[in-house]
Amino acid sequence: MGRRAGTLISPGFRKQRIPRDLLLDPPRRKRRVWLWLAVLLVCGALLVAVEAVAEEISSGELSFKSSAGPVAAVHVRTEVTVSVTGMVAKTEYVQVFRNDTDGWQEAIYRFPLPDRAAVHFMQFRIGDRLITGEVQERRQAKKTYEAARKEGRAAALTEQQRPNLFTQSVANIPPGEEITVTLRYLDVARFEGRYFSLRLPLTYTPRYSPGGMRGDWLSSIPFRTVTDRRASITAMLNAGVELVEITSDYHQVIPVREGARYRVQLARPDVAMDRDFVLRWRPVSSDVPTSTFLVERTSQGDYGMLMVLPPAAEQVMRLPREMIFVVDTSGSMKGTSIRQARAALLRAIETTLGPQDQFNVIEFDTYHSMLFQVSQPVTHSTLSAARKFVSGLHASGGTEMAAPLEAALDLPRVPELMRHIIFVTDGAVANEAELFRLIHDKLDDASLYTVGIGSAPNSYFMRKAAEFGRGTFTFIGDTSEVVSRMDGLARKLARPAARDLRIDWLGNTPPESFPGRLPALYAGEPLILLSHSDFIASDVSVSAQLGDAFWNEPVGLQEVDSKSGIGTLWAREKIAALEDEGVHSGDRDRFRKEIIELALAHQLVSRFTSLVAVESWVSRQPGQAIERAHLPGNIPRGQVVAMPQTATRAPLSILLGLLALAIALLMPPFPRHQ
Amino acid sequence: MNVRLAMVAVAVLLLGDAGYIEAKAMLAQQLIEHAWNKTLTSGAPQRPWHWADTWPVARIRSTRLGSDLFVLAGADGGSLAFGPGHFSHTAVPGREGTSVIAGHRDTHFRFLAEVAPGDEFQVQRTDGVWRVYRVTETLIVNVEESPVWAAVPDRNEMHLITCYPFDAVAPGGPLRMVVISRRACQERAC
Repeated sequence: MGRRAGTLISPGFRKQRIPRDLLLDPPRRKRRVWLWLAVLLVCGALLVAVEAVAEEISSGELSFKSSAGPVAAVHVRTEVTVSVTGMVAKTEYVQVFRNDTDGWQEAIYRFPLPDRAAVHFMQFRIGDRLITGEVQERRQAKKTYEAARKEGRAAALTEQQRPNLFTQSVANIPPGEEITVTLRYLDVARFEGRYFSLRLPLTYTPRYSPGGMRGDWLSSIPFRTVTDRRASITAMLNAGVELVEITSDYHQVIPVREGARYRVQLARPDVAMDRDFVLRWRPVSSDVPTSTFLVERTSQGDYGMLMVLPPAAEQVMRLPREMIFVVDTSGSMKGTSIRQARAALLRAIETTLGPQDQFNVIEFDTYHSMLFQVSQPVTHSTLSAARKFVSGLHASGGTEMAAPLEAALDLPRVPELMRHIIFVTDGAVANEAELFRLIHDKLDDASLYTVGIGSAPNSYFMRKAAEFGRGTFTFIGDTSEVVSRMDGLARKLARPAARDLRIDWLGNTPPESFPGRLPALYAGEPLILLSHSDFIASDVSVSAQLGDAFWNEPVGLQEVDSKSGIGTLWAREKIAALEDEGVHSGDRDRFRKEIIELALAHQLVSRFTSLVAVESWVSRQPGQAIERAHLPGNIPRGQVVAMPQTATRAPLSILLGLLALAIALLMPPFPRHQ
Repeated sequence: MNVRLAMVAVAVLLLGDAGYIEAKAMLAQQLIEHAWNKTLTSGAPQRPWHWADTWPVARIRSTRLGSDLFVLAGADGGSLAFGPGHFSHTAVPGREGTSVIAGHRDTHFRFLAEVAPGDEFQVQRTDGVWRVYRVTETLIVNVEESPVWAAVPDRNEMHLITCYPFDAVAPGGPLRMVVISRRACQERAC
């Protein structure tokens, strides 16, 4: 090595040899090698620089790709078919459990459904055998299922964990085979502004239990590895009216007209179950829905569904108000959610505040803090303080929601101001009941509006909290929606709600109706009232005070066939009302007996009843073992739970730096002359 | 042109960069120690420097492996440069449930190369209480097969994640080592 270096750097020695131009010119060649080395090294250094920049960009936002290649496990595939007639959506929710292992398997899979879903049917298929389930009391259903599992019979069990979160258990899936579970549920489409919409949650945000992550509902889910659960979705819209627009908020869909109805399919065969699927359709403006009264006649009596849609009221004098913005900055809001929340808040501050108003901002995670001790008038300096406060929010920590809510409700009142609380959150909490009770007890005459953020917000919480809070709920699933959705909310706040809503049952005995207490009605949003009595004979009449005007409208009775599902929806609403009443009374289980009775009569899954199906013959022999597989769901999009990048570029920098130094030291000098 | 000089300049830049990363990782921990001591007395989160978007949530010591680290809130690139980062979704270190913490293999978590089952970590919580965690196993995980790691919250565990292998030069490899430790029983409490 030394000798070679010697030859290289001794120009005198070189000159004594054969003239340079007559030879291959090794020295220049060797210099060229060094030059190449230098260039390579600079390229390496550039790569390090790129890495440094990329690290800067990607920090905080991690993405992941799905695992490839078959793994010996139990897989689940979801196929959803929704059929909407008027406002009622009937869904067939099919889960295909495939056992790719060599042994017998039991699969336990937790999945979300719309929070008003009335699950009333379950059936499973193994080979060419179909087994239909029945509703049993929850404990009994579990026993039935466990016994079948032990005896080696194929069995399926559908349980409700929360109003919008269910568990499907499937026992004795033979090696290499499939068990297909079909659920049917009813739901009601939403009408708001000029659009109908239907939301189908495909995954859920892990919830926070106050006091830290306790076992609770998460305990049996190994969220250890990522999965790529996929769903195919088809919707049939029998709107009964001419539609001008069919869109999906976060997925690409293709609508095809089939006679009087529309078939809507995903642009791709299936989608990752990492965010809610939202379908929207808009009738031509002359076909905006009007109030209707549908009646289904059954052997158990008549069931009515009354939809009331008051006309938009004239703009009236705006009353001064106190706006309190409460924003969730907990860990589950990390990633895109907190950015959407910040944008939504900034927009709301800009659009909802008038010169006579006062306002305040509260942020919370494990602890909460307030922008002002007491609400402040809207001035240049308070606004800029609010903007600064909001822009500086970032997400981490727990979701202790009760304390900030209480703080907002306990702020000293200014008598002449209407208090509105705008609550921005993903609702990733497990103590919903406690929060509803707090809102119910302390709200006084204020109203609470929820703004649901993120790919998979807890829509049960959003809707119920707004219901208890006499406000409305708004969802923001994408940053591009912030402006339109927040402006929609601002418009709602600006217009008066229909007050003193009254339903005159005319010739009918007043039926048992839900919701029992008629809520405030906002312009363009209908009230849906479900009723039951022995006999519903005639039309009804609806009236309300709209601003300064009195509004009155007769609604004609329309009979529908007995498969409309109105009876099932009524039972579902009654169960929800009984649950609410239990919450108010402080004893959640107070109406357990009534709920079980109702659920059994209408074959509904509830907190106290489950659907269970058992095959009559034994397929797994006593000697054969069975394994239990907990199937995790997808992690919602935009959440940071991905494996971190845990190496710096330092070792690479050191290596390349030392190489550069070596090149600099060992390189032959370049001749001064050309 | 002077290639030699250019090479010296490149060498200075690269070694400087590496030095900067190491220095940032070391110096930050000292500032964080200060913030941690304030947290222990005040009970409230303290930012180690006023523009920081993270704060210490726990202290982890290992006497045998000679390490003493302050864990920061958040496991994103922003906090990992200054200390091991705690995934805020997971349990607070030292509390009920499983907490997951990530750290760089070439700075703070370099010492994990030597870790073995049976090793003990002493974990201090924000309220000053110490808990002992004992290493039960170490796993090597391929990110391409399972890009997400999450904890089963009904166990009292602490999972430390770092890149693997430790002597790899280039960052961005697919392997991670996960050190799983379980809380040791103290005075009946586990």
